[in-house]
Amino acid sequence: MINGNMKRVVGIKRVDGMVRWLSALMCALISGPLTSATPETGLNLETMISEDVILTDCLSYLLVTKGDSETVLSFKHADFWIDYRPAEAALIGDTNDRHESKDSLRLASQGPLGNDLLWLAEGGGYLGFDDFQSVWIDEYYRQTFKDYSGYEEGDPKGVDGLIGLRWDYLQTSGFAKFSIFAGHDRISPQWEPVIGQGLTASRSSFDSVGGRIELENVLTRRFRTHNQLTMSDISERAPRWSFETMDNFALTDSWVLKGTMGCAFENPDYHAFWTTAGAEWDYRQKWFIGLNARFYQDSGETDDLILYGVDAPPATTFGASATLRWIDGPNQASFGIGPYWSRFDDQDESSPVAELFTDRTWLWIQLAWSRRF
Amino acid sequence: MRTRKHDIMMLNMRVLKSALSFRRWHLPVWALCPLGFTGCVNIPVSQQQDLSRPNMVFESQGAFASRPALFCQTEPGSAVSSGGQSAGCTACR
Repeated sequence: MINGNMKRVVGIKRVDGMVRWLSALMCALISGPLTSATPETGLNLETMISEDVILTDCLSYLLVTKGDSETVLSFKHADFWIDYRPAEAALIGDTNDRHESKDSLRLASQGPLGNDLLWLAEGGGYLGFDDFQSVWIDEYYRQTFKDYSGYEEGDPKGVDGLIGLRWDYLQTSGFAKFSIFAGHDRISPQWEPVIGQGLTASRSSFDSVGGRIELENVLTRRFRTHNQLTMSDISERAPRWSFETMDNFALTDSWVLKGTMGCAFENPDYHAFWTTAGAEWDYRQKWFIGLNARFYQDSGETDDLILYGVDAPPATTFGASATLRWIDGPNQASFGIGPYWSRFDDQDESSPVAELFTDRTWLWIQLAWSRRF
Repeated sequence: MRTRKHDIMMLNMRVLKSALSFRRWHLPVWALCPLGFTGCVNIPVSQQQDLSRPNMVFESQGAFASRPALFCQTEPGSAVSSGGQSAGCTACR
């Protein structure tokens, strides 16, 4: 037992040493002695499991804080497993178990710019499909046109960047963030045989620009709120406006109520609405037990020829979850689990990807850990 | 037997039902209401014990992160990150 404890201590010291080495490298970006910086590292694992689709998401990050300066380096790996089934309307096709993954790297930093002002900068890139719907639709086109001359397999990738300012207009009580962002994405195109031209591909890349305003305030000794308004403009689409408010209310010394409400609009007819509600009880601010519920509804994609080539019908989702979180000094951990349902209205059985937009029941699980050194 | 009180109650119920029924144009109104919660009150640090609790802070990473990552795949309209897919969710899909 003594040898086991010594090995555990040595193991922790080695990890500690690696983190401090990486932190020294990152501190060169924000300049300053390492001894005054506070590094933190963490790992988030999340999965959603249904009968024909399994999704996983693994995020690891290193955060270094020194005064008002903060730098976060994060790496994310996501996996998509789908049991592809051709729709009855598809002329050809076979069932296929397909697996795809997505890897992304992101660097975010902020630093002081003057009295109550911080500069913000972020940038990142990714390789792979963005979601399981893209994988499913790519599989449909692959099975349909793989033997056509000119067909190329999809190779999605992209980069993006953000700059902004944070203004602490009320020290410790309120701040505002203003940011603009831009990105370039390459997607797996849609294919269509055209008489006289052979197999032609749709647009395979698009650019996006946008801006965001965020406001975080404490309204009372027990009420904290965060509001954000986002405008995003993707090539050949109308701008999409999104608004979301997140509110936390400390009901008593042990109970916290949480709520979220948001909406999104895009001309001509797209709109979405979502809301979450939850309550969390803590024991001596060390153990936190929470219950949460969520609801989402949208009107379906009406002009997605650029992205998917098929119309996504109106969707409704709802879910519930229980969470257990633990904090002890520099260590934090959490576990969450719950059922989740996704439903589609007006499913179009004539769509070649009708099996994609079927009702599903999911199990959602999340594990997270972080440590401050 | 219908009474005036009954009629008033039924009218109130119809008005309430109509007000609560969802209309597309309601969305901007409901969306803008929370902006009224952006206050200008400065709470002294000595009175912020409840606000600094780990589950009262809006975190973007760690065990107390505010937002699960995978739901943006089944709730595309709710993806409100910076617009970069490397962040996990696009703002517009």
